[in-house]
Amino acid sequence: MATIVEAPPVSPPASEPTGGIWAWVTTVDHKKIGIMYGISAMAFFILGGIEALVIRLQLAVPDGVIVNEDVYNQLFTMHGTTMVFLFVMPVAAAFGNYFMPIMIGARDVAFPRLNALSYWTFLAGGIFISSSFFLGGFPDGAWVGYSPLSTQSEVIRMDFWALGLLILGVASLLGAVNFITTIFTMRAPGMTLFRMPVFVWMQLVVAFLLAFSLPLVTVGLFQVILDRNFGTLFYDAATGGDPVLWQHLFWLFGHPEVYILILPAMGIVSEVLPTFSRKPLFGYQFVVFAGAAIGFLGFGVWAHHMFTAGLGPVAETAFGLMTMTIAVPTGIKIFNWVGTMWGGNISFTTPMLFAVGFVAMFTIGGLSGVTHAIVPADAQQHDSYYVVAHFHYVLFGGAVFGIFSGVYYWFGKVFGRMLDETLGKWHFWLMLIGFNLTFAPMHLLGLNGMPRRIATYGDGLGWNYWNFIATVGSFIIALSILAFLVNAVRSYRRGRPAGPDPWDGRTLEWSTSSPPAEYNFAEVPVVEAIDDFWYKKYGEDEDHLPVRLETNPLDPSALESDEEHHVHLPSPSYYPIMLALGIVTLAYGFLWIPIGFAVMAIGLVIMLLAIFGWALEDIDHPMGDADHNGGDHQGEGHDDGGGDDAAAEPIGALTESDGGE
Amino acid sequence: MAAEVAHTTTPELDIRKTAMWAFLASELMFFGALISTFLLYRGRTSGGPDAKELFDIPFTSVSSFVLLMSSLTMVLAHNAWERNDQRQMRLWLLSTAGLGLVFLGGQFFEFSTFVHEGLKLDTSPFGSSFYMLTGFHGAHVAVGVLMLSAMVMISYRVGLTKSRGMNVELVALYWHFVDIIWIVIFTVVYLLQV
Amino acid sequence: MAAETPASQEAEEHADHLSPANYWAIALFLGIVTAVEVAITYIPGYDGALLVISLLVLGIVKFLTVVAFFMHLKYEPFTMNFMFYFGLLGALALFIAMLLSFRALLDTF
Repeated sequence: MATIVEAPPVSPPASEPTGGIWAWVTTVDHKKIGIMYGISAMAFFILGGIEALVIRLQLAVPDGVIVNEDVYNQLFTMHGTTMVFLFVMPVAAAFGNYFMPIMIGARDVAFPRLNALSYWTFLAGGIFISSSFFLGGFPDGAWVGYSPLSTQSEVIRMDFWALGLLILGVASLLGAVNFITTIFTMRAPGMTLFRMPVFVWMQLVVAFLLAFSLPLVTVGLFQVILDRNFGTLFYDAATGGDPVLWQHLFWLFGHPEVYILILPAMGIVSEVLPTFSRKPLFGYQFVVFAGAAIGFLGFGVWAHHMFTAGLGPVAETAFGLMTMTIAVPTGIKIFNWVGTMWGGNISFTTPMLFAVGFVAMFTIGGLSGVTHAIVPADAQQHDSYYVVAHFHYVLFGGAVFGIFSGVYYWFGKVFGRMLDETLGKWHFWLMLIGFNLTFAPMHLLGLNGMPRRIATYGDGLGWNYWNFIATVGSFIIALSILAFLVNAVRSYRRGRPAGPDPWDGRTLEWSTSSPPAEYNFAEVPVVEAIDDFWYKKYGEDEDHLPVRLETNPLDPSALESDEEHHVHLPSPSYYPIMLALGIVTLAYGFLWIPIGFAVMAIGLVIMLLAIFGWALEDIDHPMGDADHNGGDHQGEGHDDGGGDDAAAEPIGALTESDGGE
Repeated sequence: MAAEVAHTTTPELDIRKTAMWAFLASELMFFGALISTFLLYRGRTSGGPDAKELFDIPFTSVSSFVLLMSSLTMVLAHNAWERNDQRQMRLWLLSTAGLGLVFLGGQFFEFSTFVHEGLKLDTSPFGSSFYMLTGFHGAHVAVGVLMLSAMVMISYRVGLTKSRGMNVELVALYWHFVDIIWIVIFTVVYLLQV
Repeated sequence: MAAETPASQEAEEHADHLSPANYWAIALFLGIVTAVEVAITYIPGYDGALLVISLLVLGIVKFLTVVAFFMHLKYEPFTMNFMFYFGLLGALALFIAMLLSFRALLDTF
């Protein structure tokens, strides 16, 4: 066991805020940042949900008149953009931020201030894109932004889109580098890679996918911006430019992106199923390798989104085969999840219901996905509602069910009070029914020839009935979300107290108090097995059945909540939010060149001040060195980006080079 | 304190260097996409001048050589930092920044010559992709020069001893990375196109 | 990675501790390779596939020499090597595949 080293209390720098909103604004604590990610993402989820409801209202009956074509284009563009970039990705970041460090026994991520910068940049980017509503309308070129729709419209809507995605890309890239570094370097003693929870593994794979795929779309987005504003000819077919290049760059990013969206949910489900089956995950190594294989293969299949773009038979055959290959690791995972439940002592709590729902719905989405891999069939399905049905089964039936499984599983850990089970079950069943009513009919609509992205359809095409059913279903989903929101607010105020380990959990986060202390662990845990916490609680009798041990493996902080543990933590900082503000000011200015040059100059000044402040922060408060031995934040010579004075400079500089990209 | 040795499972892995290598791997993809765009559009000159007419290989060879040698001065600065020789370190850091500026000056001269000869950003897809690729590379060099200057200033203020983080090493990694990207650009974009 | 270079053989004896003299030698080697690169483009008759392959090989040698010795990647832990070379090979594979789908690579050189 690592010993706690009692260091003298750290006297905070004079400027350190002590509470209230400034404590959140300046925080570098991964748990607070995780909560902020989660709440922001939920807000965007509601926004994207309202957009979806308006779309469904418009399509409920033929010749709908709720919105006109222009508004409809804006709505489906922003629905996709919001749900992908502003909901599912940040929710995954929320869970990753909050639980990944705790699950590997670390006290924070590798670079806490960079982590704060990721969050504020994400929020700034999300607000930036959404604010287009008040400044000329939402983007209207679809979330895939195909040229010429993205490059040839005169209004600035697609500039908002391209710039906003660039800003979000910076946030995700910084987050990915941070997570990769944290997982590789900050694991607790004994936490080898193959003892890590599957959730952490999936976060690692996702971080690599982000790091390798974001730069590709970054180049494409820059080309769109240059084409729109500086007369370059990247996508101008008249002079030899090729719009298909955009499709390549977008889907080279976009296909790994769908695994970026689904793998965190797979990780959550891989934690929830064992806990409520009271069995270890079936075939841990297979699940891990299958996840890595999905990530790896996910890079080699992007062109299956472009089967109708005329790639030629060789490319189409190759990409079709590669796409079918992905079904193999996915199938491995599904069988392992079923194997985990098989013979288990299953308790159908709300998180478990959502996890089981995930497995079932995702399987349906996976199967319809295989049909897209068959090139001639895909030519029929392309841009029809069949595709809409498919990706909602993977992204809603998959990712969203997985996310809510995680919300119900970990809410008690984060807020100290459990979500209500009755309302939770209402939420689950309403959502399951509403989801299937909404999206299952879309398979039929698509195969009957209904195209995507049409603002309305004529009577007598045979699409009326199922469209109406889908609209009814979408409002049932809305009702289920309402049940969740009521549940969340009520339980946060007066839910059942969670205690450290309400589900009899298996992983390290359950060994700390709920919510965990700011330093996570008073004693850094020493890990000896997969699901280490479980094996510290349970031994085996002669029939290999689990027997509760007498010893109490809880972290001291979970037991003695009053005692002060002086663990050195990185100081709060104003510079991350300031830098994010500078970036978004720069982007706003860019939209109104030449008047905007003044705004851009202000943005640049803010950025430079923030970078220099960031770099010099620790030189002016050189307490990092003094406390390094006593406080022992992350071990000798290891720095958190906030402790070791001059070290911060390259991080600031690295950010600067990002901002410049 | 004895437990501290076993504090992480991978104590040999420096945190900031790991992050830097992850970032550089990501940057490989970025420049890969830019270079691919150029290769796709290299022949699409839309009536404007093409690579054969424009490129001045002797001139570009000299500026490539300058950037290559800045990697030498950078690694010598890094070496001096490892030996805690502040004076030599500053000297080599400044030489590196200076060579970087010479390279940027060369790029500016080259761009203005090309514009004069009729290749602008909006002349052809070839021009767009050439300027975008070399422009982003130049921006990376400029950021590198800024970071080198910041290093020198910080070293005057507090001294860059080994216990004070890894600044010089990280900036060095970044700088060498910019150099290897130019090695690729020089071969693929210049030498192979004439 | 660039084990065939004379500089690397010299360097391997010094393992982790390359001296300034080593760095000068490596730089000299890089300079000579660059000179050879430029020179062969001026040799009449030395063109076509032979020239392309020669230039690519020389470029790769320079690239890997800088990565291995100036960036010390040769002496770094597996994780860092893995990330960088994985990204490098991945980028190559992806972009070659993409350019092939445009039928744009083979006629490029």
